Amino acid sequence: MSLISDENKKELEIYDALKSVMDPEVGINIIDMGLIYKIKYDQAEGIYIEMTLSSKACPMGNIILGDVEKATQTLFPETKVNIKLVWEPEWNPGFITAAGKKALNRL
Amino acid sequence: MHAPVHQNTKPGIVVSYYVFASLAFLAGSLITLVSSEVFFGHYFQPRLLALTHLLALGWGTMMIFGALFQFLPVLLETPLYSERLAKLTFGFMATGIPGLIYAFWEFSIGWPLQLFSVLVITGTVLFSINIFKTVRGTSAHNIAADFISTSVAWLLLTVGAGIVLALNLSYLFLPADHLLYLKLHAHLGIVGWFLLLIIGVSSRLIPMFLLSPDPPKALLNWAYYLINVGLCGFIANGLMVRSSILAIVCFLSITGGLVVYITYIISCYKHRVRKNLDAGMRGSVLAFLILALPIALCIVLLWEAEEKFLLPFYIAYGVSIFFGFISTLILGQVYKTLPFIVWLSLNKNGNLQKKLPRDLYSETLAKFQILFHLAGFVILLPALLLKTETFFILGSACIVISAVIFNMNVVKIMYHFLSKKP
Repeated sequence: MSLISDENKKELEIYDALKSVMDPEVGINIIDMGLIYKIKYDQAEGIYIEMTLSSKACPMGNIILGDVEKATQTLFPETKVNIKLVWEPEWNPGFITAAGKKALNRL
Repeated sequence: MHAPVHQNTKPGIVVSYYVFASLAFLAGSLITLVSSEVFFGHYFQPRLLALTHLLALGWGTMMIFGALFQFLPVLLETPLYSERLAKLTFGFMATGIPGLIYAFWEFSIGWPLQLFSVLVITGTVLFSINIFKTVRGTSAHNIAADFISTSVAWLLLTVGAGIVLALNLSYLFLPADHLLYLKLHAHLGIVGWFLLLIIGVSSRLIPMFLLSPDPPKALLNWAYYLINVGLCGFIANGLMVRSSILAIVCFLSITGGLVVYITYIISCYKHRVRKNLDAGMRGSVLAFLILALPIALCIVLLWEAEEKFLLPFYIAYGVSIFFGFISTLILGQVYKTLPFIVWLSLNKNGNLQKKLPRDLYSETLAKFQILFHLAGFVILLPALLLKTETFFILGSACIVISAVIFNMNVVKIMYHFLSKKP
């Protein structure tokens, strides 16, 4: 018996795929930016991603959301993807991961 | 599926302001290089008036107009009220400013000066309507919005005062010395328009670019009231009381507001997550340190010394504001904003793939450009105070080189925009 369920494995795959989506201004990926709050894979209901942006009127919002959709859909072309944009908790630079901070200082 | 989140202002409108402003900066630096004799004389002379308006309106104001049309919707989380008004504003300003500069240069104080002043004021009124209506449409009210709206109100007063001064040159109807009103007009523009606007916008953009968590926003309220009270007092004192003590009190109030704001910037800088700064951000942070120079020069100007002694200080004061603070800040911020605007327009269909905004210009050129600008400014200021023409030419030549390199980078970014190629 595996410790990780099939759904969890797929969620991890999505998590890894989203590491290819960059925040163009900051120059690091959106996982390390701390923009992704929840990833859920359900056989029946499809993929649900809860995420935020660094500001409500982020001019790159549509591009980032489009890239998230594309990255997920490339991985699971037959599955429905639902991306929900949330503003709570409000993003702040404290959400950047240790790996993100390290990457930022290499830029 | 996802819902669209935000509508950006059309890039064509915004970049036209940036291009106009960049060319104005190049023209301003070239005029400075060939006009050393006017910098060693009185500040009230045609060529210096032309150059000041070229830098204040053509360079600073046009760049700020363009940047505001793009970033006000981001700061206020609401779309721009009217893109059509933004286009009309460009039309009026782009015809009014060159005409106004020509009128000052030739000292055609009759209809040319009056006509082009009217074009500039029309452009400014249209701009103000657009900004006020956009601010009114936001639910995300914050102190940055207060700074921006108040600065636009001061801009209206500045251009209004400008047209009164233009008429006074022909009809001499003002009760006191023309130069007294000229000083009030200049400070309405410098403190009321440029300073308040720069504080309002940078109070949001600098922590955003530095990635500073929890900037001390309460300080911004203090800066807002101290600067505005000081400026109102300065204008009222200049028009009615004309007391030296009151002038010092107003100066202290404005300087206090600036010190509070610089404390805010230092706090953002200290707590930033992004430790490595690019050339643009280095330039921007440096601009706030340069602010100490006009403050120091202003202390000298408050001293009631002989006019002959003070003249080089007046010129150095203006240079430290326009070539020092305002230009250094704008040069830095253009690298943070223009590539980003062009990148957004190119990436509509995700066709840029791995390219980022910073890949659209040369960072090496940007570093050299900022170095030349600072070197030029550092040489120019003592050259003015000590009246040494050789150093003046050397300093202004460095600024010309900086302006040429800057325009090369702007051309590089614009090439991507016009050819639609990454």
